[in-house]
Amino acid sequence: MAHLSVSHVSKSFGGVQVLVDQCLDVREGEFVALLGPSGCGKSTLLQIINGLVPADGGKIVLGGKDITGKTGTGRGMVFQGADLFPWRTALENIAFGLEVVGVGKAERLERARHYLNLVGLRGFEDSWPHQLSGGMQQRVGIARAFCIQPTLLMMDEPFGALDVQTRDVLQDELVRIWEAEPKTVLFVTHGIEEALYLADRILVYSKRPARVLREITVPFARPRREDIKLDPQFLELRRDISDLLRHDLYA
Amino acid sequence: MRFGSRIVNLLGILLVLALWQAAGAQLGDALLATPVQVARALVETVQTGAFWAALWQMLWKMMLGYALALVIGIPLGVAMGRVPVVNAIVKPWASMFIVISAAAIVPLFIILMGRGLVFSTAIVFVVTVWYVVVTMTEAARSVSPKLLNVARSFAANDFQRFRYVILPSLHPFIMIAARVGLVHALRAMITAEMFISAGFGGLLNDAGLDLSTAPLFALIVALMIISVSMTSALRWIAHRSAPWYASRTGDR
Ligand SMILES: Nc1ncnc2c1ncn2[C@@H]1O[C@H](COP(=O)(O)OP(=O)(O)OP(=O)(O)O)[C@@H](O)[C@H]1O
Ligand SMILES: [Mg+2]
Repeated sequence: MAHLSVSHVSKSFGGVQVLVDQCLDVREGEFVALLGPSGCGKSTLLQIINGLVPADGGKIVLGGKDITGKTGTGRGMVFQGADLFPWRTALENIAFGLEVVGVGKAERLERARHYLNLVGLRGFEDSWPHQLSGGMQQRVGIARAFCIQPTLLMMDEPFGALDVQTRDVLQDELVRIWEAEPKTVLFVTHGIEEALYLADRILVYSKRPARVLREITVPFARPRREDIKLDPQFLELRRDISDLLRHDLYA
Repeated sequence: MRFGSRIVNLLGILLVLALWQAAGAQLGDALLATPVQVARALVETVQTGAFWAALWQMLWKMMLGYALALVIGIPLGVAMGRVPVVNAIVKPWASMFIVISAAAIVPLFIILMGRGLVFSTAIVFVVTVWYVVVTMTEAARSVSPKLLNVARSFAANDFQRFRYVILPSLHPFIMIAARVGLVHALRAMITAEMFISAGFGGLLNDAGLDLSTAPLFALIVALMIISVSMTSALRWIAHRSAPWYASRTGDR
């Protein structure tokens, strides 16, 4: 049984078709990266799965439950700009999802502390978001999503706004956390290397309306370490995908 | 750094006082009382029972109109910021009324309401409420749709989004509206009292007739001290209740 199944989802904004009859199946525990040109509809697809944007048609099923158009229930989202609540400390931000579902204060803060430590922010419990660097804010954003222990984790270019070094570090952190608490992941990115490094499977989308140009099963065994980025097979796949996207853009 | 700017502040004040002293000595106290004369008059004034009675009367009456302006202005402003229909209906009135000064409407209000509590409350309310409304409209507009989306993605319902996102984003602006409103309320109240020669405004009128300008300046200084301490108190409350905002804006 596919854990997440997206079937025949369509969406247009004021006559502009963004998604046409999209289908997507993700196995339980699978890490899927969505790659595609800017404006092709990746965020829209993610938001439809998250229930934030209503689809014009189609169905989303997660773990056998129809969740079309509903938010919550087993999904955690990491946003591009971290989007932390500025009036909550790091710890309170992480505990937000638990507060919404009514977990008591002592328990939710204890659970939040676990995730705060997990993303390496011990000692920053009481910092305000504006006192944290971009990378640290994104760690809080990741911890906030993990804290509700979702079965499906969605990430929309979570490292897009970070510098290269911070991004590399956070990619490794994400892998480490994900290996400690495996879950199904949908990961939107512009980074081909990032997708190859992190994902089990990559879906390469065309420009709008989005259509899967190619589906790539990433052949590298886990645990993966930094040096696979220099593997000849890694480099070849990277060039293939890059050519694919370029051709589509000028087609 | 902070200490340095304090010193500059102090020097600036001393410089102005020195100039004032020199000018006052030149012109004589019928035109311009010197700071020393004003200080002496102030000490005398605060020893009279009439001063405190007038002050008390003015403050509690003002508080009535001010509180009403907050209680009505805050929700109205928020509604205008978040509900286009409300904005369309109220906005034209708000932009018309906000330019009316207390002095312009006092005569009309005296005819309509006499000189009692209803009159002063109404003046303070009408002058103050629009500043509160305008501040809160902007505040409500600036609530981040992204953060509302984040809350929604964590399955927060309408009430939770209000409580966890809208209310905390409005909080610092409520404190600002309270501060801005207070200054306007105080001014409106004084103006109203001067027209009917009652309370603190009455004292100001009387002092204006004195041969020396020292008592008048003393009352004005007293008024400034009251206004500054009240807004400082509000600022302090704001910082205590929204430390994240104070810390982010570097304002302490
Ligand atoms: N709320 C909206 N109203 C109107 N058009 C929208 C809306 N949201 C998205 N669109 C349009 O839908 C298309 C897809 O947007 P989307 O944000 O999904 O792209 P994306 O693939 O995530 O791009 P990027 O990689 O730049 O983030 C764009 O052309 C965008 O203009
Ligand atoms: Mg996007």
